[in-house]
Amino acid sequence: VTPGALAAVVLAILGTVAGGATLAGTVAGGATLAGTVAAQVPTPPGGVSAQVPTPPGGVSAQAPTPPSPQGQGGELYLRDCAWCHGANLEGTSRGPTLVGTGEASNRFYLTTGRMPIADPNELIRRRPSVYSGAEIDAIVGYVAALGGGPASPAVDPAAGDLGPGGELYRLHCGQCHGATGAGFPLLSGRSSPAVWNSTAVEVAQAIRVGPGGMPVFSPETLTDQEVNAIVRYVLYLQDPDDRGGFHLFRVGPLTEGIVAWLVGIVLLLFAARLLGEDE
Amino acid sequence: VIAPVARWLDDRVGLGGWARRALNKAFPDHWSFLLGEIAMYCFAVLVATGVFLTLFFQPSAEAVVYSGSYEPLQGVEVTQAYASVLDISFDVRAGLLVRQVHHWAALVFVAAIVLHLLRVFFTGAFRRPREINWMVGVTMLLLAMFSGYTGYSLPSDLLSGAALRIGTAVLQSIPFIGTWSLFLLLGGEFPSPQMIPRLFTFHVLLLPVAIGGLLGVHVAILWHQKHTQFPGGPRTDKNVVGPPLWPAYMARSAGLFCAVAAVVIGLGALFQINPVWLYGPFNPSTTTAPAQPDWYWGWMDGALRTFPNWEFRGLGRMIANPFFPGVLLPALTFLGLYAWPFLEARLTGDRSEHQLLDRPRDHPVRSGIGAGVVAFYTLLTVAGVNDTIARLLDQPVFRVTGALRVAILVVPVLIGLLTWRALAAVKDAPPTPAATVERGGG
Repeated sequence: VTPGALAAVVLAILGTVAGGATLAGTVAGGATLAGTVAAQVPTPPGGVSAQVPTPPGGVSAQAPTPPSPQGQGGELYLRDCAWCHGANLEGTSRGPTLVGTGEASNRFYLTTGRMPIADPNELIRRRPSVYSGAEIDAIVGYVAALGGGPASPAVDPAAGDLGPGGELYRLHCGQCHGATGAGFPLLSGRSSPAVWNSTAVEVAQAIRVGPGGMPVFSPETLTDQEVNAIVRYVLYLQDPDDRGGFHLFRVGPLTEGIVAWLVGIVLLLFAARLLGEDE
Repeated sequence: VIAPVARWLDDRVGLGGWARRALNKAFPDHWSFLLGEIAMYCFAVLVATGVFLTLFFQPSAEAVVYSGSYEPLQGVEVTQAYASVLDISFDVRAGLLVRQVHHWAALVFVAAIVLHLLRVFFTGAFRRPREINWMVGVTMLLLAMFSGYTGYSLPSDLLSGAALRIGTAVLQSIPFIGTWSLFLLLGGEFPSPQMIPRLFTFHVLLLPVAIGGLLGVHVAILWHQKHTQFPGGPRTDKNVVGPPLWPAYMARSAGLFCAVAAVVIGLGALFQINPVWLYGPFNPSTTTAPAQPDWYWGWMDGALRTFPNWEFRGLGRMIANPFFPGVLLPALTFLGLYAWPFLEARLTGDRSEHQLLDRPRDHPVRSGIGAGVVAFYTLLTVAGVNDTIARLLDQPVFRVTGALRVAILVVPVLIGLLTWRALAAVKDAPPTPAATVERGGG
């Protein structure tokens, strides 16, 4: 095995660390629903998003008459969601109420594949969405019509400024998601995910909704313009100015130390072995 | 041309005889004797690249609005130091390459020192008469670590700030003198405006001059005492067998210098290191994660991360928690390193002169202790990335930290005992026959 090949293997392993969010996709969903009541049911999104005022122009109006569960949205909801969230969004011992959560929250959970989960004990994390775009529209529309809540925030990254966006990102987001966006494990066993796979809309939704353990950033904390700036910087972090050679996954000096030993020192030991006699 | 000049010089300073003896000096030959030389040549690269960097680096905490060519930070208020590192990285010709070569050379430098130290330890090269040179070497390791730390802290990016915050907190934890030492060092509370200029003085003047001076002492003592050699062949305690300095050994050494330069320049060209523009400028109110020190401080970071949250009251004071993993452990570590030659002489009662090296397998106890100690510090270094391990294993950080605590205490003992027993078995075994007779199968 050449040192180069060895280094490539190590770097490949580290690559999966750095892209930790993608690891989540492999979590099996085969557990039964009949298990015990969740010990760590996530924070009810309804509880936090109630603080989020409806953005101007939102489509949060409560439907005057309850929608019929006959449509595609209703059918999917009753098939996949109602088991934990209740037939009328009222919530059960397995999952929180969805009343008042709105499009911002529900679309985020469905497009990022965080929902549905097969078992309330399962960690809620990013994975490929199981629904088509039309199906998500239908479910989100059904839940919004039935339970109300804020619309998805309007986001325009191009209108944001990169410099202030970076400063706001480092101030509000970098502690958990990392200055480079690599993500970071929280003490509880959950992780704040890497921001490298998120779309602009998902980032804005997460900021406003505060999914999982993430705080809610309401318009009083971050204006729409500031959210635009942060989103622009997050999109920049997905493909940053990476001069200086191969980027070693932007997880700090850890990978640099490994390369110093496995590439630098290994090559030099090889050179020393060639230059020096061994007897 | 050379001959007349040499003769002219010899007529006036009369070094011809000395030079002839020097050039004929024998150097024993083994690839593991080149580890220290790798470190020495890394130091040469560090000085050369470091001089280049001082031409452009501004050691100042003065706030400026960045206006260089890196767009995402344009208009952001940063320190002059950070702005000048961005200039080196984006606007100075070859600046980023030199900066990266400097940093890579530093990582390889300390790694080579550690390997050299292990070679000297496991072969018993520190024994009489070489105790002084052992202590000089240990001092250079310490100075190299502080050179790395001050260099890491200079760019005034988020990682620099975090490292300084941890380092100053550790310093403050020393009972009685901690707070005053910090004020003396920083000229005030953390973060002080004098922090960067003072670190700069240490990094570019005091530490490298001390390392350079001790390097001279190290080589001079080696020259005077002559190099050790492995037993076997014509080699005895009374002679030195090896190629002469000129031309064989010098050619070899020049080749090694080229290899060191090629490897660290290659690393600097191919692998990004410390992208400070992505970490952002230091701001005491924020931080980044995942974050680690450079690898050779990892063991101390790991100790800080895994040490239980104990605090003690003694002498009428609270002895703060970071004191134990951050001050006491490193102090004992280096005390142990300094004292080892004398400790071993006392334990074995062997105070005689040694010019021949031991093979590690012939000293099961020493090799067992060495293997256990290496395992201990390796595991502490691993504990310095407990968060990344937790993420890799999909486990809570607390659980990983708990497992590491047990491993740090248990595994080194097991490895030490295993090494000791295995080597003792090899040593006590009857010599294997030079050839075995294979019985015909048909």
